[in-house]
This record gives sequence, C-alpha cells and structure tokens, in this order.
Amino acid sequence: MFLSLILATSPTGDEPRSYRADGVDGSGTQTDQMLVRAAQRGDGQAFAALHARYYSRIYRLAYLKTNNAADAEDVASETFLRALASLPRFDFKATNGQAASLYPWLHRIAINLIVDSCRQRPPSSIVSLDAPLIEGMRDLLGDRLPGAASAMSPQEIVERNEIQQLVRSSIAALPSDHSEVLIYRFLGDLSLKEISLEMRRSESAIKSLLHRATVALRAEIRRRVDAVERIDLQSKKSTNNSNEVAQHVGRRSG
Amino acid sequence: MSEDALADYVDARSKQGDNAPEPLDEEARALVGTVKLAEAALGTPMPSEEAERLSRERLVSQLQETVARAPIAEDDKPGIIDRIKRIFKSDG
Repeated sequence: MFLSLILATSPTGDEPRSYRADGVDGSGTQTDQMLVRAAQRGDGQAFAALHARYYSRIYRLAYLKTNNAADAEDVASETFLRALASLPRFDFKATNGQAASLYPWLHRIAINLIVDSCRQRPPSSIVSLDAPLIEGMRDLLGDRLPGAASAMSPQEIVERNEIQQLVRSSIAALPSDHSEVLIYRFLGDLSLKEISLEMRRSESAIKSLLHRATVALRAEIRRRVDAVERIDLQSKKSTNNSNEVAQHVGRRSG
Repeated sequence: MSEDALADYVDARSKQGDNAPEPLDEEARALVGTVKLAEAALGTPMPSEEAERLSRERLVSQLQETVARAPIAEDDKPGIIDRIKRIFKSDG
C-alpha cells in the first residue's frame, strides 16, 4: 500500500531531511504540494511534516463535530492513517502553480469518518454566563453604546471556555454552507481562492457567503446570549420569590 | 464595500493577528467582535501532546506492519523500521 513510502525513505540510511510543521526547511518554504509530492515519492519525513502541520486542525474539527475529546482524538488519528493509505492516489485540484492546502482533503476524510461512525454530536447549547461575561459579549457584538466599559477585555472574553462553547454551538446551528465557510476560513486557514475551489463557487460568491455567515453567526450568538440572560433573570426572580416566601413563613411561625 | 472590507480584515488578522487594522467600513467594523469570537472558538481546544504522539505512533505501527508483510529481505527490515521511527520521532 505505502511500501514505496518506506523503501524510498533515506535509502542510504542517513537522517532524512528535516521539515518543520510550518513547512520550512533549510532550502526554503515547502508548500503542501511539495510535501505531498515528496511523500508520494517515498519521503516519509514529508508525511511526518504534514501530520505535524495538520493534526491539531483535524482534531479541532473532530472536536467541533463530536463534542468529545476522546472521539476527536480517535477521528484525528484515523484520518491520518486513511490519508497515508490513500496518498499515492491523491491529486491536488489546483494545478495552476499556486499553493494549495491539503486541509480540505483531510477535512473530507475526517467528516466521512465521523458520519460513518455516527459520532456527530453538536456542542451543548447549555452554557452558564455570569453578568460580566454577558456585558462583555454585548460589547463584542456591538449591542451597547461605545464607551460602556465592560469589566473584562475582549481578549479575556474570547479566551473563556464557556464563550468558546457557546460560539461553537452557534456555528454548528448555522445552515451548512455558512458553518462550512467559517470552518474553512477560521479553522482550516484556507484562502478565499482555496475555499472557492473546494465549494465550487466563485471567489466573489465565497466573499459574499463569508459575510452572510458572519452576520448570521452574530445573530445566533446574540440569540443565545439573550436566552442565557433570560434564564439567569428568571432564576434570580425565582430565588427572590423563594426568599420572600421563606421570610414570610418565618415571620408567621415566629 | 462591506464584503470586501470584511474579507480583507479576516486576511489581515490571519497574518498580523491583533495588530490588523480594523476595517473603515462601518458594517464590517460591526462584525469585528464576531470574527474574534469565531477565530477563538475554532482555534480551540488544542489536542494534548500525548494524543498527537499516540497518533504518530499509530502511523509508525501501520508502517511497521507493512514492512513486516512486505517482500523485503529479513535482514533489511530492522533498518527500515529504525528509519520509520526516526522519521516520526517515535519511541514506540
């Protein structure tokens, strides 16, 4: 299957060339196309570099879809085994000499694995946000007047796990082409041109889709923050009512 | 136009991070916070080093099995397996 990958690797027994995860070696930048061609010629070090470059992205994609770290690890690992097995037959769509990413191919393998194994579970939409986080989200979404200083910086807000979970569940709830373009751009780090090749639409159509998807994401996040805030208010009201009843009962019995 | 401005801003962020200048277009500027949220949510969580190492080891193991089954002279096989391990920096 990938015997050539092994046999042609450093046949002299010397250490193979060293590729870095960012695709750069002593001789200059190695694009994915260069690494794939090298791996297809039997350079195992090139495939190791592709693994280092893409493992964490495929893990995050799998985590987004399975909402489970152990499943995400399995899917990511299996994706690279399948990729290794299929590498001899792989061909880049973009043959115009420009850099193209291996990510979409790995993305498709991972998604097929997730669908086949029925492990797809959208992120939980139940999150708890405290008041400063809700205020911070209102700032980030442009819901409040400029100058209304929140207790937290935008950086602190985007780094909070519960916010990231809320945003992931919002992305999962979008129409499929909206979530797909966001995943390709922000997770896969693909250019508009690469996304247009993958989604078979023009670059201007992808630009427009990215805009619509971002607007839709803002609306979905806003809807979820509103819902959390409503639940929070109801919970506070309910607690206040309980306290009042308890005080009332206490007065009567005392 | 807002679509161009947003696409340019996203491109600039992927190269310059937080140093990317915010778009002048008002509609695109209103989406800056959403872009930051999407970036952060899709940029996490990071896999553990252990998970990545185990994934590399599965690749090595797969390659070793292929060598074991391959019509190669038995004397050559240990050398080939050593090379695979060095390539994937695996102790497995």
